[in-house]
Amino acid sequence: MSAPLLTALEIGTTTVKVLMAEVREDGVLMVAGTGECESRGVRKGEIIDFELALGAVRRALEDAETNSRRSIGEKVYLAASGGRSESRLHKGGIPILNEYDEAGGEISSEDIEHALDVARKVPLADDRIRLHTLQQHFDVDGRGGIVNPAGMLAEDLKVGMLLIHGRRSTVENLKRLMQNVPVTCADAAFGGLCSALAVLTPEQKRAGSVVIDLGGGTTDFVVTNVGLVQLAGSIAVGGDHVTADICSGLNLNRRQAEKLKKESGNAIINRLAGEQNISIPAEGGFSGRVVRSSALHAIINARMEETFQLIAEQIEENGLSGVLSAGILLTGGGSAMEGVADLARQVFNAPAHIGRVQECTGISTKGEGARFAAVLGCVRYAASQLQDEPKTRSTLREWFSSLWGGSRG
Amino acid sequence: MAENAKRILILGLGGAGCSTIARIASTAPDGMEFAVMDCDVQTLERCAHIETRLVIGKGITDGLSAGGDLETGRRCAESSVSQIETLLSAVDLLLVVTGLGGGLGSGAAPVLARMARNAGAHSLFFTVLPFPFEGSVVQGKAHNSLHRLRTHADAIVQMPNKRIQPDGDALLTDSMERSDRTLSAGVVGLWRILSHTGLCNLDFADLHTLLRYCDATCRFSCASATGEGRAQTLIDALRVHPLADNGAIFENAPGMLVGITGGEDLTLAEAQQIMESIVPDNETCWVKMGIAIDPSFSGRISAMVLTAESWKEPLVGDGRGGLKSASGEGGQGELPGVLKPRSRAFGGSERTVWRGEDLDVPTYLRRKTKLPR
Repeated sequence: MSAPLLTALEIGTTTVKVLMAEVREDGVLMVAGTGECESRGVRKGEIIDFELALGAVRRALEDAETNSRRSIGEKVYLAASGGRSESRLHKGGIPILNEYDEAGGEISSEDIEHALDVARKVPLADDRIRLHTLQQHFDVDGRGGIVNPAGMLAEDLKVGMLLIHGRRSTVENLKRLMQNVPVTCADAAFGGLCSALAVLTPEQKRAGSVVIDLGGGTTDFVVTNVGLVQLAGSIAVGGDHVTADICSGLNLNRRQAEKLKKESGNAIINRLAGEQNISIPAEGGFSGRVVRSSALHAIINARMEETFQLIAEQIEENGLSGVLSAGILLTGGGSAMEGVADLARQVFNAPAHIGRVQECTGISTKGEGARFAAVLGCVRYAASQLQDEPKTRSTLREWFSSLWGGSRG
Repeated sequence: MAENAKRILILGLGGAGCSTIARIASTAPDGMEFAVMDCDVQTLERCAHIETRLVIGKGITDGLSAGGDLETGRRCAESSVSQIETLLSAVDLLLVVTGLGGGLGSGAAPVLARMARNAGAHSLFFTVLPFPFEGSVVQGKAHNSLHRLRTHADAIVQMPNKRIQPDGDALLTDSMERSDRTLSAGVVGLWRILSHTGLCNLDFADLHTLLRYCDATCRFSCASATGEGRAQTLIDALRVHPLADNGAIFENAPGMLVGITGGEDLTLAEAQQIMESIVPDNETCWVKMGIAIDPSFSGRISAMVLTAESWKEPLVGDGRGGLKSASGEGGQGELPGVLKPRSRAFGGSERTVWRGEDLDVPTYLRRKTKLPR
């Protein structure tokens, strides 16, 4: 039986991306086609003009169909970035009783199920929507880090759940947009988590790593350690902000600034490299002029350094800054900026690279991979949702199940 | 009614609203326009004498009720947007009667209020709140829905069911009828003062002013009296009205609309007596009085008082999906000028503020980095 063709959609601030792929038995992704369209009517990952955004999504889906010469299935998975996503760790558990209903006893599989059920019930504000509930390790009588407590003697069993939640209105409007295309939204996944799924190897997840998706309107991040996602979040600052900063700092119009950023941008200030003068032709009522590369780099550096610092602060606050031995992996359109990995290395004081998609064919892992990471990961997510049962024991599957053991509730 | 009269539509929403409207409509004076809206076909069948009946959310509940689920109620209303828009077109004032705490009323009312605002109709919601014994879940739902409703409705009149709780062992049907009568008198009274041109006219613009400043909550009281000393009887009756709190609503009201209807035998002294005893004795209260003479009211006098609970600068959209005070004063203070440049770079989307810092402002400006020139 051939694997089902899965379609993932990301409605970003700069581009709408569609990716169609099959997931082979061994977990390798075979990309059948991709579609892309310049995004309209989306700012900071949120829809500001419904009709314009709808048009862009339709074009991207058509593009993907032409590209793969196959029709997109009925169900499409959504990688939702933006939405001011946050994560929250919640612990819940049950006391363990023996057969005489006294405290202390052997932990049975029912006890584990029960504890998971209790922990999954995380209260959430009315305006937030639950995207994922990711299971953490068990605590047995206050001792943490237990992977499988079945059969152990204990009085008290607790388990942590990491809840990733986004703003309800944002996610629901994205779903509504898909309904109007019309396609069915099978599930919405957090874009940052999708990127992490695409680029992380199991070893990196165990060693501790941060995946940062530098999008046009938002920057999403996911922190993993000991094989589990431990922190996730999203900041509504992205490539658009860099462009806007250049506009105001160098008195250029948007188009000029965008072009300048892509062609001559650099996230670090290299004092050794000589000063360059970049001439910009006149356009759209803005006169042509010559700007100095040092000014351009100073503006970009300030913005990107700040964005990284905001993430670093959150990691620090959650006590995870000491465990990032696998370092920082950058994905998304912003990772194409020169010097961005060097800057991340400076800010986080950890190794940093551009993320490469893992176990995937049909797409250039180096050139395109980082840009398509979120949709690729979303297909992975979709595949894992489909093959939840029956459980076959391959290492990749195990990795998946450990990732969102609790996401289906 | 005159040619350019404002169109007033009285709409029953949800089970409670529909049955109330059904009862009001059977005794209403000519010229009142009614409509009922529910997702429950059975409820609507009971309202057969009302011309406009709208079944919403057919595809969602399949003609059953919303089952006490707020979300279902909301979805029902949203799925029937075009029908509701047709219903609201050319309506100037929408009076909605609904019971909060159930499914459709609580869920659909905020949607309806938003649509009314979009359609340019003023909306006034008469909301019946559940009895305390219906449990805290129902109460919570009602409260939640009221909160959402406040954002979009022009005004809300709250009618807690517990206020109509009579003493002793009155029959349930009597109590319900009493509740309906109170509501019905309010709706009809309001309709009457708006649609009849009187000696001292009260018109739509006056109501508009009250609605704009009342901060979305108001109360009403109405009564009528006949016979000897009818003015005093009327005043007493106004004070013991279930919603009047023994006259407390009049004492500190910052604004009120008083409509008096009487026959040709209405005297100036009577009008004076009523006004003097109702209007609070201070200089700040905004009062608008209207007197209408209706020959059919001979020997009878009736009054309808709508009071605001608080008086605030009207809130207007600030262009970013929020509400702000029209004059820019009062309410939450905002940092001026420097931190809030009028940049449209992000399409007027919500500003990204992180721990008090506005991240939409270029970092190099906030950090005061010197750019090489």
